[in-house]
Amino acid sequence: MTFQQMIRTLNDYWSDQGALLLYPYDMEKGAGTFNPHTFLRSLDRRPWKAAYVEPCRRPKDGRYGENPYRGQHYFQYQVVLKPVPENIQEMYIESLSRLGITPDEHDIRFVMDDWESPTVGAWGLGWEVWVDGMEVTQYTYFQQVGGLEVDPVTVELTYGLERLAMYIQKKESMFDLQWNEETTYGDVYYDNEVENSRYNLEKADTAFLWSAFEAQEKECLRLTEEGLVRPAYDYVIKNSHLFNLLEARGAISVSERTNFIGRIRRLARACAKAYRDAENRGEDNE
Amino acid sequence: MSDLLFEIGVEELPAGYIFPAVSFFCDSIKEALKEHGILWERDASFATPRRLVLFFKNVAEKEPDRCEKIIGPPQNICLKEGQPTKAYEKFMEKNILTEKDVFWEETEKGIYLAAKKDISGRMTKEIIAEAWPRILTAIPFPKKMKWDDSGFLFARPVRWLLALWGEELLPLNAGSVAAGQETRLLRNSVPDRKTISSPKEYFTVMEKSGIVLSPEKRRSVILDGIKTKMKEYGADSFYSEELAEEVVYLVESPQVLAGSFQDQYLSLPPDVISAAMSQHQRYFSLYKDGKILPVFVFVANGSFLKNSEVVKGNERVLKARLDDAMFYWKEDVSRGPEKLYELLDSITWLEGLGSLKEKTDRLVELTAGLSNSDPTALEGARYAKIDIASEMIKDGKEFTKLQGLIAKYYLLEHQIEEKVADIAEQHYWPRVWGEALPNRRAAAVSLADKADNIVGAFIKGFIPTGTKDPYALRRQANSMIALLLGYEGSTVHPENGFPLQSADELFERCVKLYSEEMLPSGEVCGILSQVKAFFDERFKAQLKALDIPYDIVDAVCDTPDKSLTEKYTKALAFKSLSRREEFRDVAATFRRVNNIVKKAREELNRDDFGTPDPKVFVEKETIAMYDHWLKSKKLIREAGNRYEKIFDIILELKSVVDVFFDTVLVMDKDERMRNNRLALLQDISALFSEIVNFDHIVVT
Repeated sequence: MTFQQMIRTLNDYWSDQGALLLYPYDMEKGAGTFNPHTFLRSLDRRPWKAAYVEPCRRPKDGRYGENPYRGQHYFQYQVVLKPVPENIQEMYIESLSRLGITPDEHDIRFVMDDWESPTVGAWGLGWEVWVDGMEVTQYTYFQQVGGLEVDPVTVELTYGLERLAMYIQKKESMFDLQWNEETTYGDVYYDNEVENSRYNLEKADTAFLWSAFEAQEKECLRLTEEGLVRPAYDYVIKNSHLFNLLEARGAISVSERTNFIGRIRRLARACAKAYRDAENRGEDNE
Repeated sequence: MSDLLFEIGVEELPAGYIFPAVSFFCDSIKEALKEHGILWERDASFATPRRLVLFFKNVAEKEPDRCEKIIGPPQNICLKEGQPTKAYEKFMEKNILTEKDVFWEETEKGIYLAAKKDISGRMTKEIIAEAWPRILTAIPFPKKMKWDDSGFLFARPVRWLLALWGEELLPLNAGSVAAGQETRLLRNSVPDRKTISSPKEYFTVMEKSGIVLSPEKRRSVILDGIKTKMKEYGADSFYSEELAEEVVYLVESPQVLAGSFQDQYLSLPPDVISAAMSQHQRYFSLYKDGKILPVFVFVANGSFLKNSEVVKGNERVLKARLDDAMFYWKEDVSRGPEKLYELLDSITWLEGLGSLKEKTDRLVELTAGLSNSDPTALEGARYAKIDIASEMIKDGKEFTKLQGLIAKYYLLEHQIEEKVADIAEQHYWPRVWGEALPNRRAAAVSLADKADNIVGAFIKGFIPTGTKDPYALRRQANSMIALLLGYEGSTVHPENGFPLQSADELFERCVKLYSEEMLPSGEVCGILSQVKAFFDERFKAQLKALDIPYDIVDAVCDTPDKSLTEKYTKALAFKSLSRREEFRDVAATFRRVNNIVKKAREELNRDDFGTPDPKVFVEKETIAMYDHWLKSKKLIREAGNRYEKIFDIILELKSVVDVFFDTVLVMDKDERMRNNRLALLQDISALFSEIVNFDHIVVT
């Protein structure tokens, strides 16, 4: 099964389960959770079922294309469901079966991994899912997002597409994955990996990044005050990515790190609160 | 009589949650039954990651019938002018009583209307249903969650509930899940659900499906499986029993499998390999003659069409982890210890207190004082923290527990003396009270490191309170005490104690090593006294942990003695002396001495009564006591720390002092006489307070 067939298979499956097939958010981010389809939508009371591919960036993980499993850019397949279907575990396992990973052939395990993102003030309980010892999915029941309790609870399934594909295609390196029959993952992304690793780890202009961070923080706060939640939230995403870049450049010491995470969390909380407030007003008007 | 069965079916519980939860669950049901006098033949609890199971054999159908006395209103309310009142009638009505059922009961508060009533026992299943919600919500978990809108909280979502009373279904629920007759089997069973009609059938179904409900049985399956694999690979040991214990609660149908990895990874230190296996993947490593073998054993859940595929998958995962470790290893080794030492400068230790390099420099400075500037110890201190800057420790989360050991490997890799490398490893020891002590040089670095951790945290205001001790300062103080006393295993080995009088001087030197901007001026003394008080408290707590009675601890610690070893020896001696029958009386007498002096000081507003003048004494009792005291004082000084001897001297003195108190009034009207007597008592009190403060001894 090629990389693109995998995505199509997951799309077909989750579409059959009633999920909206959505698209990635047009911004650099460390995880699909940042996409407003997850972050903001988990904060309201309305039902929500969505599935989408999310390209993610983790600047620190850049290995110049030399590490077979680790890259500064990779793909997640994200599913969010609210309320949580009673048979969610079965649904998830069925999605693996569609990819050819069936429980009669593979050791599928749910290993405790409570998830926390201090940057966006979110936490949840759940597992990392193992297939024959390999972690392929993060499976989380959100409890808090943006510092706010969530109700109803959203479940988030985050598939690591490269990991899964390496397993399915029995490849030793992500760059050797078949994207389709003719083209490999490396054909498309290897150069990107090398150049961005250099940028992330060596060349990014930290002074410029600092000043952008400061400016965007101000803009974010100004916009939340104006009640423009979504534009404000874009700056949370941007600053989180700048923080990751600065960290990859070694420009943030351990003590500053906590401080910066706190600054981003403050923005995330402000957006979450503004979104929730607007939602509540909307309900009152109904 | 009926059999009772519960199965709470859940999405996988965290391993560590399972045993405490099922134990509590079982105990609570037992209590509920006992409370109602309901008997049963036997009970058993079982648990896997997906189910908490209780089974009670032959439980009585109902609680025993009983006769209960009920008390109504007092007589004067029940009767007005000999006629029954409304209150009387109401009571009769409410309890469905007739004239012949009731009588007058005399109580402490007066005469009350009363009745005996036969109450037939309620049905056990009703009692269970009533207790159920309370029990279920009280099951303790470190963290609970919500997953639907029922408001019910549990460690993980509950997906099914089986509750059988014989063949009858109990009407219970867990949040939005109502009890049903269906259980779920392994995910690859066909079918994966099964209707259960009786408790007996449940156990047959589980066994057939390959689910091993009993943790003990799973443990033996796992350990036997490991042993079989060991035989196959010619291994003589495995790592570790502790991991096996965790794995027991990670699977419900254990199947022990093994895989291998390429020999090239054997160039990594064995601890790194085994950490890559055990920490995240929960694989067991095998050893032969102390050497790690290029194989691993793991426990899969259930059985599969082709085990070889499952093994291959796991092999690929381990290869990726070993590749990571190899990458870190090569990267770190290529940098060398000096470069790693320099890199410590970019890592903050505690915010505002400089970098880890600065901490290391303090470590070297303090070690110099503790080791007579031994060059090996100093070099060890300088390199003690280098692995914190290494890729292996910094990024590889499964390797962090190897901190110290990794530094040692890197030093050895760069041909640095083994004695130095050992210090890097051992300066964290003992990590907890009772663990093995490091060698003498490493002990110096360990003391310095821990003292600095405590001082630094106090400067930042991270002072332990109640259950909060985020920097584990209590544990570190305990380790210092173990180092100073020579406590290891479960005994004090005074000959292994670090030769340092007290920790106080170490703390004093440590505070001085912080720059002024780190340490707001004027706070030096405050911080130091806080640290010392904290440490003294820890010392007292550890003496109590060593089984010294608390009053002896207080009496011994409330002396000017500085040496911890001395205090410990003294505490031991007085602990055994305190078993002598005269001990409490001796304490009482000398407490009286202390009290009189203390009171006189307050009343007369005088700190010192000077030296006693023998020419002023008149009564023979006072003169006798004075003479005796002079002799005793000399003997006590000569006795040094032979406390048994000292006690005998004190005991003899006691009888003289008692006679003195019986015959002489200390607070004489004549000022000269009075002050002279007080001067004598003050002298006695002063010498004793250097040895042991009798004020703390519990006399009765």
